[in-house]
Amino acid sequence: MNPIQVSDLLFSYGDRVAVNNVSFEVKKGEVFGFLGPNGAGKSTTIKILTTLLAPKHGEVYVLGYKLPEEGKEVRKRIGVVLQEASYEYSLNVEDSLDVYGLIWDIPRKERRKKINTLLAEFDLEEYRHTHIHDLSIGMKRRVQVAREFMHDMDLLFLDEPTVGMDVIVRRRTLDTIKELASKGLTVFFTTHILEEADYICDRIAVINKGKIVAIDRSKNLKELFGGIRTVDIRVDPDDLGFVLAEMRKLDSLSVNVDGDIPGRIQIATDKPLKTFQIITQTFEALNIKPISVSLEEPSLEQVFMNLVDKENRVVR
Amino acid sequence: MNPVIRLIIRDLRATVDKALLTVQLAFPLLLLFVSGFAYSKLIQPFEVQGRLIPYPAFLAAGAIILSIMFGSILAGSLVWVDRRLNMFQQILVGPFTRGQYILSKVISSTLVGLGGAVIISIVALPILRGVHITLTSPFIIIGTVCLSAFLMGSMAIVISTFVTSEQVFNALVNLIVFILMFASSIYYPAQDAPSILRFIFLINPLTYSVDLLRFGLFGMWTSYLPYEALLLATEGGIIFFIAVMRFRNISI
Repeated sequence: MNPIQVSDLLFSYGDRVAVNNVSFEVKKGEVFGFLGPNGAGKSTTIKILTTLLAPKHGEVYVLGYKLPEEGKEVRKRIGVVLQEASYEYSLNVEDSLDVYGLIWDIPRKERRKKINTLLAEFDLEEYRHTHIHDLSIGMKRRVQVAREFMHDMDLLFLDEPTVGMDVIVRRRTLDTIKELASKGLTVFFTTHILEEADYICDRIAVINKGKIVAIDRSKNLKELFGGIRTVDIRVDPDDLGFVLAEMRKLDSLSVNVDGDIPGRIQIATDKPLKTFQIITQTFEALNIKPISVSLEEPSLEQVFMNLVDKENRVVR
Repeated sequence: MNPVIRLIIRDLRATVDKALLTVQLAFPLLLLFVSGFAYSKLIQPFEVQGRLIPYPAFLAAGAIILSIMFGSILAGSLVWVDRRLNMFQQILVGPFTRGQYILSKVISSTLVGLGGAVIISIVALPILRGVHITLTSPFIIIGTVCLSAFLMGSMAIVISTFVTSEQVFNALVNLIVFILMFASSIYYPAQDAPSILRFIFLINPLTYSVDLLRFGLFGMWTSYLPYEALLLATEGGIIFFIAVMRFRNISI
């Protein structure tokens, strides 16, 4: 059985349906991205998977245990980095890790070892004796993520773990998570930073208004929902006039010239393969060799906007 | 290690504010020395089984129970601290049940209350005249102190589940403490009060605690004592059960 197996999950707060018949699964060793706008149902889903809320309908299995009945078993084997900052402000970084290890029943000797490893791994060594309340938001977040690794787990929930982190720390944190996933850890990951999801997630689910609207690999999502894409062509500026004149004869192409970069042509298309064929034929007919022809990948943000924003606008 | 013990150690290491512990001793000490000695000019020592008990010694039992009450009320504020710092959620997604979480809070606050009671007892030693210790006294004293702390800690947790903010919790607890304190036998014996006041005294669990402690310390027997002991234990159990039930349904 997959580490997470959800079918027909439904949860409502009174009359307001937060999660509406959602089904998905997360495979072992996978980093699974769960994206959606505010109020889409992400946090409610995470609260159900981490046993804080009981589903109203549907079947939820986490690590093979049925929820909510076997929640206690699940909690022993998961790690959770909450979206909200959670700390004991009276402690310094080292003591914070130590107390967290203690509540997870890690023996004292092992705690000492793990603290040293994590302080080094998360680049927190120089803050070892700094009180949590004296740390910046990003640093606190780093401690919160590091703290979760005080104990072993089979499944890790990361709810916007990089909020407030600077670019370098964020990349380092994501790489650490990636490395752990490559060793078999399953990660359930939410973020509003879509480049982050693109970088780290093996598969991504997009949830909107309580329903999953797409679920696939990032690459496939871009192909399916990326919408209009841009073919970028570079030619010798001396040939630009001939090429443009030929291309503008074709109604099927939407051609733009980049005034800032000499010899650059951009063609917007929703059928990149066909457009490539036409471009190739055009250059052959003119007997001109382009300097380069490339297809710009749509961003995950574009996919997200196409999936979520359009739907929400229609409803509005 | 047992999950409840782990959570108690966490509370004592990370959550209990050491400054608060000092402040919680202030009121019982004031009661003991200011009220005790001020009123002792007006209230004559009274006789119990041939021994003279001065008013400051009579009040000392009340001061010990008060220090327990202030310590136990900490249970409710510990929950609020955890909620404010989001550690409440963090712990509940860890290897614990909600019942274990509440029990740890009640025991942590009981330990804090007991610590306060020991300090007050040591400070009050010079004025504890007329003490009559028998073989059963230690059991009665320790039992009373533990049951009182358990009941009051559970009560504070129940209150914390009904209110929506830490400020409301603190205001409500102050009000309840004030009512419990003055409508109890801390200052005066219940049996000598007017009948309406006596009724209020006798539904106040603080009265049971103080009366039982006075019995343990001075051998002050009243016909209510067996019922008071029973009520203290029963109410403690019921309120703890309510706390667990309330916590099961608390929204996160």
